[in-house]
Amino acid sequence: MELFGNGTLILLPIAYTLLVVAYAHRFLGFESWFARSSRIWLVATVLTHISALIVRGITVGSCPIATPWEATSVVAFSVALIYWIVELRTNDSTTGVFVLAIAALLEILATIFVAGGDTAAGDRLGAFASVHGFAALFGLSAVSVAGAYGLLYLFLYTAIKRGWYGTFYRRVAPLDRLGDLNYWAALVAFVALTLTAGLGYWGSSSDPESPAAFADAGVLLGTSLWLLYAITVLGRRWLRLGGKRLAYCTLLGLPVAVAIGVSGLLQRGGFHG
Amino acid sequence: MDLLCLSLNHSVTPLAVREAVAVSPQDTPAFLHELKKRTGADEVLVVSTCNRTELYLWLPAVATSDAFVEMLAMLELRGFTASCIPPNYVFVRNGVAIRHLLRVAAGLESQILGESQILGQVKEAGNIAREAGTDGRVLHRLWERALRAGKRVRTETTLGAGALSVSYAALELARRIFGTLDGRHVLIVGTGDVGLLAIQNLDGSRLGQLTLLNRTFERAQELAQQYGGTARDFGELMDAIAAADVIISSTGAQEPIVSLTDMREIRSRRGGGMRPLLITDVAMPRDFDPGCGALDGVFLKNLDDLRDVVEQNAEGRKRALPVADSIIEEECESFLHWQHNLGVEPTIRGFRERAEQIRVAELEELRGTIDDESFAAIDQLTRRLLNRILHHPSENLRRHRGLRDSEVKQLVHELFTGDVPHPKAENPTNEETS
Repeated sequence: MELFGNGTLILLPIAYTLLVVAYAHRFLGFESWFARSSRIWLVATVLTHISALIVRGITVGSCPIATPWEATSVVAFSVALIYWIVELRTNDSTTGVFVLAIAALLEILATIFVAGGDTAAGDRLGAFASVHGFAALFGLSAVSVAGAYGLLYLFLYTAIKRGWYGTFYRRVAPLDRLGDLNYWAALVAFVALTLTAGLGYWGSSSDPESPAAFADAGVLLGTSLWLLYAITVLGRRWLRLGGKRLAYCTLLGLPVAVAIGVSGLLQRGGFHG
Repeated sequence: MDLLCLSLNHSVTPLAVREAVAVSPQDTPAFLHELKKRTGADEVLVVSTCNRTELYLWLPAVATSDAFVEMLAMLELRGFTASCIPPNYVFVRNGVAIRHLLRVAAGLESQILGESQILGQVKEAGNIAREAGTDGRVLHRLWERALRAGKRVRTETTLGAGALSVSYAALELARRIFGTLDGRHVLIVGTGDVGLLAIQNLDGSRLGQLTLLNRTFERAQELAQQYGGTARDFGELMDAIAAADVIISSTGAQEPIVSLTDMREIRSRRGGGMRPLLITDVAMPRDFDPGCGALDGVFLKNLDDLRDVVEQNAEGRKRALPVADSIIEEECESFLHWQHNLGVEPTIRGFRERAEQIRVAELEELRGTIDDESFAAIDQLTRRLLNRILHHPSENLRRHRGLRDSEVKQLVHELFTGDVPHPKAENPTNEETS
């Protein structure tokens, strides 16, 4: 089991990098074996990653999100999983190279953390903290995916407006579909962040020993991110937040998500200090 | 043995002549039978479109010059007069003719490089010849190769990608925004030539709604009935724009028919930038105030913008040419290899049969002189021996692509019989004349 865990540490960054190369081939319309097998690479990478997370969870006896590298790796996995669901639902693989590049980057970062010596399992998390933490990381992944789709939407929007009819214009998914993907990713992020906030509030109010609910940077940033996504998703109809406005809102969430991630990594006592 | 092609196409033949000689699908079977009878060809195929009329003949025994004269005579009956300076036809044989049909099917010889309609027209031509019973093993195989080459060029290169006409470019833009036009509301403002062309290009799309507006309401109503749309009064222009997803506008108005203020109001009725609106303003002077294009969610494209799309697509298609050419060469080689084997196979079969006859005759002399078990063993041994001896010469003949059929036959004849070689005529494979 330990051998498998160590093996996947090396294997996963390579698998994600190859996955991005395969989707890049597909995006550029290459008739290569790489391009044709991109879906198989995706499934294999996601399954290998979930196996690695399960093995890690069994090894440490808790949900593997307690250390920075574990959390980063879970975010990378969630991004790939969300993209896989999107591809299955839309049968569109033109956005894969952009979204999966985020997952690859995060997984490489996770491996660098391990190489830096931070391989300790950290504190064991209880069931409640595990669900709360996993929902938060899944929400951050969805925010990343929504941000990526928002960015793609704005690129294509500008390309059509300005008449830049290059490879990106010809190859990427149509504007309307990018808008839909942007909204659905934002909705998933909002649901996951709501679950995280709800569990956090319930946990802190039922536990007199817990730290002050709104006292740390992570909670403050998380709450502002949740508010932004609540406005983005619920305001779609009332505030007419569609198309370009929706894309800007989701894009705005991206630096907040990065700030949350960085604050979590910097605090030695875990995400809540 | 010759495969001939006489082509009257857009690059050498004037439009009036092409129109006169074009053979309609209804007339093609009779034309094919007449062509076959007059030329004495074993197999004939005719590809006739608005841009080309091409006659393909497979002549295993007839002199090429006689068939060529008959082909011209048949076209002269339809109003064609051949001229050599400059040539108003192309006459090619064998390798060049084969490559020509493959290039035609792939859209490489089309007026609009890479256009896709020609593949369907070549397919239709082959089907007509098959039904008329005028094709055969060679032309049918060539036709199959041509379809295969055409499909490969379309799927493996970007030769067919991107629109090369302004009205198609407008639809391509719509597809980049909406993905598909299924269920979308298209509004045509002005039903002149451009509007009509746009409606015809939309024909076949599963639109949600097609609305037509024209200053002469009757004209809009007539086209709406013909193409399954709804005609509206020109006074309802603003309401129609508010409901549309795609607008193609080409009126003859001298002033913009939609101002920036109008568009702001319409945009507000549409829910701001929530629903994208594509306006292709191909009128001259323009129908929409250019400022409308700056509004969020409004994509306003004029004639110059669409020409940019067309030019960029044309460049993209040209870049795909080397790959398309290599596909054509592969398929051409493959056909030539098959054709070569077709000529060698009877020869191989012949000398194998002769060897077998000798084996059986020698074996029969042994019958009765030895017991049955020994006879069966010798039968099996000699059969195996013969197969092993003849295997390599047979395979080498199949692989020896430098030799022409008649030379192969002569060589094999000499090798296996030792007879004096037969005199033979020259029969080139790759020649072009015009």
